[in-house]
Amino acid sequence: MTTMADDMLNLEPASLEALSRQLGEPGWALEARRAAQEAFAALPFPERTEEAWRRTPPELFNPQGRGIVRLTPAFDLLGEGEPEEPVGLPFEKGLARLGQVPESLGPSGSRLQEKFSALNAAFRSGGAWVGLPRGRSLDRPLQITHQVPTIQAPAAFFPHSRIVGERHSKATVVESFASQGGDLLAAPVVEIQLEEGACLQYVLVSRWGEGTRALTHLDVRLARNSQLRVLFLGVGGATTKAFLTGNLDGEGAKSEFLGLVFASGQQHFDVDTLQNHHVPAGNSDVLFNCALNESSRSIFTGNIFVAPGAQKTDAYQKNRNLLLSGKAHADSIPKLEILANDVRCTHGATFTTYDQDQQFYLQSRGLPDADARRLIITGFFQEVIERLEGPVLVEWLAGLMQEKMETSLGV
Amino acid sequence: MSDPLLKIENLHVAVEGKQILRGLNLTVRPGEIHAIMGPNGSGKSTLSNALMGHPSYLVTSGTVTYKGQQIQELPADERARQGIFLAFQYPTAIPGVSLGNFLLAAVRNVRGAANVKPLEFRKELMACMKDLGIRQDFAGRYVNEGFSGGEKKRVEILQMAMLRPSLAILDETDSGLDIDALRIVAEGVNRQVTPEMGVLVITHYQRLLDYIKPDFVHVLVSGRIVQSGGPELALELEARGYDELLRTHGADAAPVVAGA
Ligand SMILES: Nc1ncnc2c1ncn2[C@@H]1O[C@H](COP(=O)(O)OP(=O)(O)O)[C@@H](O)[C@H]1O
Ligand SMILES: [Mg+2]
Repeated sequence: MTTMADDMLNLEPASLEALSRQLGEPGWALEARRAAQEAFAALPFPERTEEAWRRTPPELFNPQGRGIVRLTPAFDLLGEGEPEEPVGLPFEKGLARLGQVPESLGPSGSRLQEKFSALNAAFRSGGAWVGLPRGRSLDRPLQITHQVPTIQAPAAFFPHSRIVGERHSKATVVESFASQGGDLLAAPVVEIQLEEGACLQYVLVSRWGEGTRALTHLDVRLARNSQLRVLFLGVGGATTKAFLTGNLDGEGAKSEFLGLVFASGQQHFDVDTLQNHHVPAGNSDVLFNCALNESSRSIFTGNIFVAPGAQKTDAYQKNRNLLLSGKAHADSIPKLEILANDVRCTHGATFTTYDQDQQFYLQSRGLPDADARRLIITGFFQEVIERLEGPVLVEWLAGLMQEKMETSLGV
Repeated sequence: MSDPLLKIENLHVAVEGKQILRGLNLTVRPGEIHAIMGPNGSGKSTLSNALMGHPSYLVTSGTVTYKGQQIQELPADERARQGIFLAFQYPTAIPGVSLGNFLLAAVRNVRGAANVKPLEFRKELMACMKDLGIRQDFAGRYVNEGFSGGEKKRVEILQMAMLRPSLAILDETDSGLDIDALRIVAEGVNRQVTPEMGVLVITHYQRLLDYIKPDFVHVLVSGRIVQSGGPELALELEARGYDELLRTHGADAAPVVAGA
């Protein structure tokens, strides 16, 4: 269910109406789009001199002159089991059920404060809506797939997904963003809200096609004693800029951000994580492992903010980089802003090149060069993979990494 | 006499531009156990690495003939598949790769994937681990990561048991082992030795040779074998130490004049 190039819309106010109509939205949803469009127009375009944009030029994400791809996501469940109706809807259906826009998309909502989020709110052209009912545990991971087919003319795709984990719900959600050929600008926004005691594993798979520039926003709000584990998995796309933010709003919340980036060719990944400790006794843990082949590049910026009074905060972050080629380049930038005094906060980064001794050790046991390389890289990712829960998910991820390895290493 | 399993002739090896082995000769026939002893820095590990095909150890002249074929140009994995095994003095950790998965990949490559059934492999692995006093949960642990010195050495011998080599090179397998572990490891090696197999036991001390009885003992000093003999030579060296040999053959000693 994709709108192809011939009936693509442009970034004009009139397009809002068409989009809203095509999606069957009520009038108040269109009004919210208009407000977002105004906010977008009023906000300045980011400058290269801004800290967040120093290493990835914001102009790459200029949406002007592009058509809009409209896409309905697919929902299914990973692994074997009884056929079940997955708990997910296209965003606009969920919105209609709610009967109003969520606060973040409202006139003074957080989404309207940032240029690209406002753009997404105005021209939203896809996305998923997932409500995890109170006290329920999902046995199998829910998979949401956004698969943009080959496009002929330059286009933009603005999916907005919203996941609400009600009190004491427990689930794993895997959301995959993918595209085929063509010049695509993808600017997804994902909002996750965890109510008290909710527990969520969320995997964002960024497997865009070669011609895609992706600008991703993930925002999570964590209420008291809720637990979140995010995995950002970056394998596809030409240029990726991602802002991943955890807001520890309630005491005792635990926010774990994991990352696996496997870059090859000329791929560029620039990921900012931010753990916002607004209240005491929060725990955040970031582990980002990037393996870089050929002339690829990665930038990891780990931000930790601890508000005044957010005592007993425990914040940890680690970024490991494995450089598989002399031409690959990785940067690791920690940014800590700590305004409370009784906190524990650590940061670490490592950069390793391909280890000749490991290679020789494996080869001395009969493994050909390519197998040895593959095993070393798999091992490098394992530290992150083993943090995840559920054999079905782990196996699925291993398969995905294997696939990337086959295309980028030819092994 | 049978054809040699391994014949090393006039081997010269350089590491990082530095000449370490300087004309080493050695012949190992099937069924023979040779001990190579020598002081620290004499080139024992260099010989091991060069025989296994480490790319940093450059053969500058001489030949290594294994089963009638010159192998000094072959990559390490090819040598492994042809039946050469090195138990490392300092085994390398491979983070994130479990010992079980690693060994399965190794055994598949060495024996051929079609000849390895996962279930039988697992059984064999468990049996070998039991023989060597290695706890079963080690199969799930990452290769050499956080292993004690002794655990690493046992795991090297475990790998040897699984790969069933024709030529085994044990580089200071005794170091880091207490006396009980030494016995278990030595028994493990002895169980594997067949009449077709050749073994090079490289050691600094004599004590391992109480358990693995060598047929020949060679003394390596400054990149050359300066003395060869039977098992009694090991005891002699133990009593005498290496000092005298170092004075006469060490790098600082007067050059040996041909014909002198
Ligand atoms: N990878 C290497 N890089 C640099 N020098 C090395 C390397 N390996 C060995 N050497 C040098 O070669 C000499 C012999 O070392 P080695 O073969 O390890 O001796 P042994 O095992 O007999 O103690 C030493 O001087 C050592 O410093
Ligand atoms: Mg040594």
